[in-house]
Amino acid sequence: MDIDYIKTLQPEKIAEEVYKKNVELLEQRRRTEQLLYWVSELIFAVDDKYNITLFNHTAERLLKKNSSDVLGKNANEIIKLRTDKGQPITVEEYTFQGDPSKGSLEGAILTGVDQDFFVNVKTSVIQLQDSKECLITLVDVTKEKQLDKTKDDFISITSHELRTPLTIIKSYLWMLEQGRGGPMNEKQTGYLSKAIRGAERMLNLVNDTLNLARIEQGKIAFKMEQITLNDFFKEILEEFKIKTDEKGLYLKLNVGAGVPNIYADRNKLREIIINFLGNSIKFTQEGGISIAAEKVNHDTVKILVTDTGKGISREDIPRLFSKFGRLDNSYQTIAETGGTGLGLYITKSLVERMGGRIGVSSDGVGLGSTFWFTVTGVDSEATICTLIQG
Amino acid sequence: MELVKEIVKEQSLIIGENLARQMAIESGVVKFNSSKIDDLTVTEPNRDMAIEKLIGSYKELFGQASVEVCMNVIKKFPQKK
Repeated sequence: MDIDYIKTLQPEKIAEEVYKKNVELLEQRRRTEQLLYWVSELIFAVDDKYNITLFNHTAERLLKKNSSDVLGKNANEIIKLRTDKGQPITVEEYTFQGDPSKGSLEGAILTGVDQDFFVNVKTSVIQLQDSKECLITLVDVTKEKQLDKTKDDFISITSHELRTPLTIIKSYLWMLEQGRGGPMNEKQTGYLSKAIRGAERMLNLVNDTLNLARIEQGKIAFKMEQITLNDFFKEILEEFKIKTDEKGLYLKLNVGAGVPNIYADRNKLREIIINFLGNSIKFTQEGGISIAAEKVNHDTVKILVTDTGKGISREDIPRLFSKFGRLDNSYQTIAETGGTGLGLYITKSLVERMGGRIGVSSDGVGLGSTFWFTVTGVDSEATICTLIQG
Repeated sequence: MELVKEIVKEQSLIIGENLARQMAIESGVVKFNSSKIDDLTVTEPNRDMAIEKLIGSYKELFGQASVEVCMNVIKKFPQKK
């Protein structure tokens, strides 16, 4: 608007122009508020004192509270989040975080009035003219979680039901193969051994699936104890020596000087090592396998299983530890190796549940590979006390 | 009278509470009971008269644009027959 024109205006006209502009601004504000208010995600915002400045319709609906009653209140009084282990999560923990990973949560539990909700949380910091606010979005994933649980229950029950008849089938086939049911000719014995291998593979798959379901449902208990690595490895290596000798492979053990005892569940640790060793033997035709343990720092020990086998290409490494992440899914490979594609995924879950990390390195196809994981080292009495109390 | 309250509230969002309150008082149809903008009593018993005077008061200062804002509020409150 021209300034000379404005100077000619009567005060009433100026008031009317300002009024019209304010009406426009009010309409814009209302439209923005309505968009935020009606989105299907629960959205709220807090100021730098963690007081609520915005509370949308989904928030009102899920928490059965009116926005007019909660605006200005501390968010911790209204939004009650906790971890799946029941640990409360305060608003200070996930808002105004510079690190994006700290500003988001997955599978948190939101306390509602009649029911609780599983939610994924995302936050963004909004810099205003002279202050800042944090916008928090909670996506309700309760249905997805329930579906997951139904699926896990189904797998768990089905696996249980499959295991018993499969064990019976395998036992009778074995008895037949042993000649307990009378003499068998060569052709019949050949058929039987194929049937036994098939039943074994299926039983392995069922067992792995069942283990997986238990791990994912948190139903596996860990009995942590102090373990001396040298003794532990010698015990396992005795079992595997027969297999490596059969294939003409060497099997070496190297527990470095100063490697402390470790704190782990003996059976789970055994399962992890057996999985690594089993894979190495399967995929190594020449050379051999060595197991090593080294101290990373005062409370961490790294265990490495290195082989001179098939190796892994760089691009295949990321999917190795995923469910059914077998690299070569051809029927031929499955038939030859007898694996289920779940072993490394289960191993990873076990390592992580014991507080460790897992990984693999390889210089490429045909150049062998090193699978490793970390476990808690027990360096002193003080560490043991902390671990037991923890 | 709910409609009068809503008109005053809506006007307060555009011109601010102080001005909206002042213009409503000047219309001579309302009395405020507290500092809250919607805590008021309509003193004019005739509904149509009350609304006309209230709108007139806003129109005097802010023109036709303020009448349209009031009309939008009225549309949300259909008169009971």
